[in-house]
Amino acid sequence: MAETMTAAADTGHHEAHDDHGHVTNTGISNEKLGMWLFLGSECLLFGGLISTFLLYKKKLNTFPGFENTTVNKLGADLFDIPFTSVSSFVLLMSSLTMVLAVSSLQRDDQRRTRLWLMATALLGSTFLAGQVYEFTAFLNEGLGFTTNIFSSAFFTLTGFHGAHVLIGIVILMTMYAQALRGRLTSRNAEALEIAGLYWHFVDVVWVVIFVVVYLIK
Amino acid sequence: MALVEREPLALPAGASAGTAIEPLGVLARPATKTGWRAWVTTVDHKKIGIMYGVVAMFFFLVGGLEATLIRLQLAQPNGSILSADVYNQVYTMHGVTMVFLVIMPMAAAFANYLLPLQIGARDVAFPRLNALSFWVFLFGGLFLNRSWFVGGGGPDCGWFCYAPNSGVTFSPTHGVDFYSIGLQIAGVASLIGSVNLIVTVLNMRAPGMTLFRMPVFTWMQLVVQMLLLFSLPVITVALFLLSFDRNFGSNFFNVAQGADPLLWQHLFWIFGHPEVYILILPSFGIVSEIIPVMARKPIYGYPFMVFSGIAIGFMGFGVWAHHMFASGLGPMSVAAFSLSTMFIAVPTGVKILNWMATMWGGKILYNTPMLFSAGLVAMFTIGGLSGVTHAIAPADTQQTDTYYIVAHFHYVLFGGALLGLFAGFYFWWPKIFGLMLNDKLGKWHFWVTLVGFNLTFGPMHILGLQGMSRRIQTYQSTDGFTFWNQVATLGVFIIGAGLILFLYNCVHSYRTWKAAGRPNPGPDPWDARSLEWSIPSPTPEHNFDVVPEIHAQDDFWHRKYGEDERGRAVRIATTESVAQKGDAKGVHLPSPSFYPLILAAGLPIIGYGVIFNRLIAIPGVLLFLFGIYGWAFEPATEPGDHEGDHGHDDHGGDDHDGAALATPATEEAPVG
Amino acid sequence: MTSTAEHHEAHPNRDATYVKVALILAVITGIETFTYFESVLDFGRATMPLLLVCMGLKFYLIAAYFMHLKWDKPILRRTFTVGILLALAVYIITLTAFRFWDAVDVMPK
Ligand SMILES: [Cu+2]
Repeated sequence: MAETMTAAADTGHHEAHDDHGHVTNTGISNEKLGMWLFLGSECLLFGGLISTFLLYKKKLNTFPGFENTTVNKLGADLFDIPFTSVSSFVLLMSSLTMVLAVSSLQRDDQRRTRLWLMATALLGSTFLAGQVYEFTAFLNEGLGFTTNIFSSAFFTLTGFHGAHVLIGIVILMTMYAQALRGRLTSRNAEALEIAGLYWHFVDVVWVVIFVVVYLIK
Repeated sequence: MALVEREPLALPAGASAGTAIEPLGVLARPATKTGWRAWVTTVDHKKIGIMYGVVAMFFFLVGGLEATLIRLQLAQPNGSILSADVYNQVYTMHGVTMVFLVIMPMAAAFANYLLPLQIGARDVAFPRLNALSFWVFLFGGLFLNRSWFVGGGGPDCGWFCYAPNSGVTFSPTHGVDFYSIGLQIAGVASLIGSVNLIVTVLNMRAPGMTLFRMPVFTWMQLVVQMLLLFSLPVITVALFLLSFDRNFGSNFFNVAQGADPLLWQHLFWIFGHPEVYILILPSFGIVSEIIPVMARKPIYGYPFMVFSGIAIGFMGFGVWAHHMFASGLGPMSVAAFSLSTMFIAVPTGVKILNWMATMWGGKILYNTPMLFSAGLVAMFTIGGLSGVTHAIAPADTQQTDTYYIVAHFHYVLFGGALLGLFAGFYFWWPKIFGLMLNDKLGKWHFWVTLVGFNLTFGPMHILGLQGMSRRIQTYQSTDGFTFWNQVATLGVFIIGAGLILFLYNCVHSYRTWKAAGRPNPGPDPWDARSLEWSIPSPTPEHNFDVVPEIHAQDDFWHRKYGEDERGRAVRIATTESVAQKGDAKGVHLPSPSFYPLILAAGLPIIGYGVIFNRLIAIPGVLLFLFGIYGWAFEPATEPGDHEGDHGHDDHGGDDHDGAALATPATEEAPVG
Repeated sequence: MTSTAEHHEAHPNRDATYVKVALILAVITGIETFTYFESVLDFGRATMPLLLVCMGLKFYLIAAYFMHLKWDKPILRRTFTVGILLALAVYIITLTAFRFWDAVDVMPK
């Protein structure tokens, strides 16, 4: 780490400015570096939520007196794996459309950028709709947020992830609105790329959740 | 947040210099440069630093008052000044206030003010996020303290608020809700600040200022911000779980449902132990600046200083369960954490040895900053040693939850962190305010504080070993605790006298300075080593006329001093000839903004909504959204703000409006 | 517009790569889902390791290609890696302290 930045530091502020703002010691814009730091921090947030879920999933099954009650049935048995697989796939594909939007904007192809942006937001919304459907189904089965330790941990984890998806969609739609007004050009490609980093991160978290929460028994 | 900070989004493409661009903000851009409006809309890292310091000092008085109440209650057996219930609230709020609202923001004050100066930058990487950090912290702190008035009493679960004591059953007032949401808000402030300061240090250094030429204070702050970045999300999780349990009926700490209350302890201390280093490392950085200046020698073993700091930061994540030895972790866990805790004493010891080696053989100037620094070295060593004694698990089982622990962490946090911060106040006061604090009063302040501090916390070692529990509202005369408790209570009043001396010194120094015709202390009153002393005092708004070029560690010193044939330092230039004049005109700076304040104001309202009535949250959310969108569509720098001739060098600070200075890009584009 | 022209050279068109990566991701997701239908093909004790490998691979592909870490400055990769490794270390130790990996009952009685 030190060497790279040492080398970069010597070329420091005397280099000319480019479209991305001023030249930095690391050669990375402040915004992008800031976003990556934030994502590094988010790893520990989701790590904590996932660990809490794993711990309480196991505890529910081993808590004395809970083995044979109906409460125990209100756990992982309710998962609808084929359904979740489809929505996982949808979110995965939204990462593809996102990266294509960034790549289009880098070539200043604004028409395609708008198209892929809209596709990403729609896929994200589809995923969210699926989550709402899943939550409703669980509620109908009698598994609510307050039912047991498993359900509290499950709804908190997936709820946090869903909130991240929702924020991502709002960011994408804001950028789409800017694009419609012609304010999203190749000059802002990096802004879109940074929004994309956030979006992919949310996707990557779901990759982990899909396996750790849904598939592993 | 990085996304909304990026402004070109809101600017029409290809805008060129001199073209007036229609500002897109909803609110008119604040224009005043003086008065309270200039302060509430400022994005200047120096003003923000000063505000951090003032607010932290205010909370210090609040936390000190709480401490005094605790000591008065314990001044005699069967004390009746505070009921058991109120006593619980007072010690909880004393701890929370001192940790989150005093030491952290005071360190943030120095970080904000000094980091850009020490690396030769015009501002931090994200000036408006910096303002946001401050306002969010302020609102979070006020929110926490509102619990006294509208929460039915403060939180009563101790600063680490163990489950299930923190649950509704055992803590039915809203105090703990204010705790969990207030700390959540303060945590947001620290997280934003950490991203901002890390990016600043990594990205905004002056040419030649390589990482290993940075002052030790900057290094320690970099480590601290990294610790915050990676430890805050863990307490965020814990506080969310607690809030959900209390406000939405979830079962995370509901033992009847099979929940494990140790989960809270783990999450809290995964954050809590790094937090200890977050509190102490800034002060380590401060004395590492002061000791070389006053001992007239370079810092001994700079690389060791830096690497031990990094090691402390790294290892700080692997020792948390030493707070839980008495909780039945199991012998394997206890043994592992006991060992790792003993190892972390090594890099800390390296630092103490380095400071002593720096002082060794130096012509030490015994002025106030140096006294406080030496005080830190001595007092922290005591606290560090008592800390090693509870790394040993069998000893710890005896010490846990006794006054011995209270003695230990006050030697570390008061004798370490706070003495260091006071050293910093005396040292950088002339740079910040353009006048020196009275040295004689300062020395009185130091000695009175030192005596009071040792009288207050020294006896607690004995009380703890005698078996006096912490957090117990009172004791019996037959317990044999009376004498040392009385000594401790006497001590706290002496500390108070010291604090009054400090506040008096601030006023007195200002008055004499004004009466003497406001003499300027010059850029470099201490004949110091780092970059902030190469510019006028107080620091001009634009920091540097010319962004300096750095050729060595302690570059400013080497511009003043060379070596004779026997290797002794000799003056080669006067400070006046090497210091900058501070007269550059038209350097363009990031423009002030209302939005950080507006955005931050939304958060506590949402907090009230969660606690009392969901409807209250609606205006909070609206305010928050208004703040975010207003922010996103407001350019960071008003195009009109940098008309006219630019300074000698225009490449500092926050220069988002790249178009105004557009020249062909000569280096590889940073994207892709 | 000259600077825009320079931009084009700075950003090679990687769309074909992205689509290929997405296809691989889709296939891996298929394999993952397949483990659920034990009646069709039971991976037995290999199920869990297989799932974890699939997960790690997907994680890597998204971070390396879609998030450009493969081509970006190493400091970004390191920042993210520190976050991931720290999270793994800290939480695995925590779960170990809860005897999470023990097959037996964790609760008394
Ligand atoms: Cu600790």
